[in-house]
Amino acid sequence: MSIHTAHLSIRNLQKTYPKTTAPAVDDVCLDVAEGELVALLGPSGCGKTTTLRMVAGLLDPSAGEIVVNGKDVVSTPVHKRRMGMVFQSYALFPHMNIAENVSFGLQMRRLSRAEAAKKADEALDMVQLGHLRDRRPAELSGGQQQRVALARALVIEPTLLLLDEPLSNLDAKLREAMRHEIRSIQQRLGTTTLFVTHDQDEALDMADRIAILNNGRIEQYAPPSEVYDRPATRFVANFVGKANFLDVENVEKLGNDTYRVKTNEFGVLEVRGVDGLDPTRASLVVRPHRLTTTRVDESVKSSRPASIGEVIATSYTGNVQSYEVRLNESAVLRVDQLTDTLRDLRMGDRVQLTFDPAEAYLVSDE
Amino acid sequence: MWKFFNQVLVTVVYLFLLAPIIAVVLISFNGSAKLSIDLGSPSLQWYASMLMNEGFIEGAKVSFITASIVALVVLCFGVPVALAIARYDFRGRSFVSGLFLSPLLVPTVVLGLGLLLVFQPIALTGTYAGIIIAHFGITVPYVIRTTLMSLTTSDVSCEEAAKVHGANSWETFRRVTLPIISPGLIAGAVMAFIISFDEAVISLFVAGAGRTTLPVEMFRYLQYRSDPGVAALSVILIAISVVIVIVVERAVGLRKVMNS
Ligand SMILES: Nc1ncnc2c1ncn2[C@@H]1O[C@H](COP(=O)(O)OP(=O)(O)O)[C@@H](O)[C@H]1O
Ligand SMILES: [Mg+2]
Repeated sequence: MSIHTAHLSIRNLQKTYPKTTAPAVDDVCLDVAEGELVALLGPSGCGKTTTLRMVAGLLDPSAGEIVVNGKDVVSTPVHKRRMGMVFQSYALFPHMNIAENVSFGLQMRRLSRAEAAKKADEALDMVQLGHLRDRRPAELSGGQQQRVALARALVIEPTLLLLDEPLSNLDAKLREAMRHEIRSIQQRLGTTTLFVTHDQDEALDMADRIAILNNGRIEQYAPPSEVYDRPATRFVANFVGKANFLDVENVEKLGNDTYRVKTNEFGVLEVRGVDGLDPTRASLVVRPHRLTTTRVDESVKSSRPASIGEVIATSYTGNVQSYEVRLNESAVLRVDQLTDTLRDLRMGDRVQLTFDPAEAYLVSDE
Repeated sequence: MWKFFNQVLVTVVYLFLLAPIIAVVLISFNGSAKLSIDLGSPSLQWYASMLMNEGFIEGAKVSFITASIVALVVLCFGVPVALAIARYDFRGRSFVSGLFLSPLLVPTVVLGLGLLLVFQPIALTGTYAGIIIAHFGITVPYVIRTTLMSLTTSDVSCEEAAKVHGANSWETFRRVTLPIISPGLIAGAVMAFIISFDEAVISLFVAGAGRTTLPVEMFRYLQYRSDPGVAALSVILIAISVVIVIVVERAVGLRKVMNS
C-alpha cells in the first residue's frame, strides 16, 4: 500500500448539539503532522467522539475549520473525504463476508473487481486474517473483527485514519497486543492517525502526541513524556498517571518556568512549573514514584526536602507496592515503590518522605 | 400439582381460541349440505365445488392481485417513512410517527362507510385502485412498524462506516441498510399481503358492483347459501396463510423480527 497521507489542522472547532446550551466541543485547535499518531484523551463525555465525527464528516461543526492538506473539508460530504475509520463497535457489515467487507471502500471508488480483490487480500494478510476471508463477521472473535475493521479502513489508503476507542471492547491481554499491532502497522504505512481513547496507558503507549480534553476543551497538547512530567493543569496531572498535589503559597517567579514556592509540608522549594500560571491558583505535583521513604528511626539528615508522617494504607499490585502516608490533617500522599527496593513498611509506621524538587512540577489549578 | 393445573389451563385457553377453527375444519368435510358438524359420511365434495366456483376463482384472483400490489406499494411508501423517522431529525417527526404507528381506533365499519362516501363520487368503488387505496391505509402501519423495528435494532454505525468509506446516500441504502433491514421488510410485506387478502369489512363497502375480493365473495355467498362450501374455502385460506408464514419464517426468521 502506498502512502497518501495528510497533514491535519483543526482550527477553533466548536460543536453545540441542538437543544443544548454548553458546547460539547469548544474552540479546539489541533495540528497533526504527516505520519503522526495523535491521541485524543479524556474522560467519558469530554467530546472526543464528537471531535472525531466532525473530522470524519459524520457531524457538522457549529464553527471552525478542518484543514486537510491545506484544504478546508468542512463542506466536503463525508463519502468524499477519503478517510478510514474504525468504530468502537467495529461496525462490520453483517451481511457481507470478510473479503467483501474489506473491499467495500475500493468498490465504492470504482476499482475493478480484480484489483479490489487483490488489494483486499493484501490488507487482510497485513492483519494476518487472509485465511478467514470467506467468513461472516459474526463468526469472528472480537479481536479478529477489530483487525478486519482496521483492514477495511486502511485498504483505501486513507488521507487520515480515525479510530474511536478501537480497543475498549477487547479483554486486557488482547488490548495490549492490539496496541502494538495497530501502532506498528500505522508506522509502517505512515498513515496520519487520530486515535480516541479514555485509557491513559493506551495514549501514553501509542501516541506521538496526546491532546487531553476536558469539557470539550484541550487542556494540553504535547508528547507523552511531557504530558506526564510537565502537566499543564491539575486536571491533566490527575488524569494522566497518579499524582499527589501539595498546596503552595508565596509563589514567586524566578525564570520562565522556575518558581520558588512555600509548602506546609516540605518548606520552601525551588521548582519548575507551567510558564505564566496564576500564582494564587497553583498546586505542586509530585508523582508517587518520585517520593522515597525512610523509617524515622533510621532516617539520616537529608539535603532534600523532607517531611514525617504515618503509613495509613498499603496496597500491593505485583511489581509495585503503594503506601498512603498522612503528613498532616490535609495532606495524605501516595508513594509507589518497585517491590525490588521494598522497604517493607506497615500500617502505623512513622516514615520520612523526601523527593527531588527538580522532579516536582507546579501546575495551575484550573 | 401447580404445573399440572397450569397445563390444563393453557390447554383450555387454546381450545377456546382454536374451537372455531376446529369447527370449520370439521364442517368442511361434511358429506351433507348442512352447516353443522356431521361426520357421518366425510367427503371432499365441498372442496371440489369451491375450487370450481367461478365467483370464488375470480375473487381469489382479485384478492391475490390486490394483496400483491398493496404489499408492494406499502413497502415503497412505508420504508422511506420508517427511514425518515428512525434516521433523521426533522420537524414534525413525532407527529408523523404518531400518525402512522398509533393503533387504528376508528371501527372498520365506519372507515368503510367513509371510504365509500369518498370513493362513490369519483368512481373508485369496485375498482382495483379503490380497494388498493383502502387496504393501503390499514396495512401501512404494519410495514412501518416492522421496518422501524429492524432499523432501531441495527447498528447505525454500519451505515456510517459505509459513508466514511466512500458510499453516497443511495449506495449506503442499497448496499448496507436494505440488506440489514430486509427481514423486517419481508415480515411487513407478508403481513400487509395477508391482511389485505383477508380483509372483509372495508372491502365490502368499497368493492361495489365491479371487482370483488375473495372475502367479500364469501360473505355474499353466505348470505344466500348455508352449506359447508365456505368452510372448505376457509380451510384452504388458513392453509395458505400458514404455508406463507412457515416459508417466511424458514427464510428470514419472522419470529425474530416480530419479537425484537
Ligand atoms: N447527539 C447528541 N445530542 C446531544 N448531546 C450529545 C450528543 N452526542 C453527544 N452529546 C453530548 O456531548 C458531550 C460529548 O460527547 P462525546 O463526544 O460522545 O464524548 P466522548 O466521546 O468523549 O465520551 C457529552 O456531554 C454528550 O452527552
Ligand atoms: Mg466516545
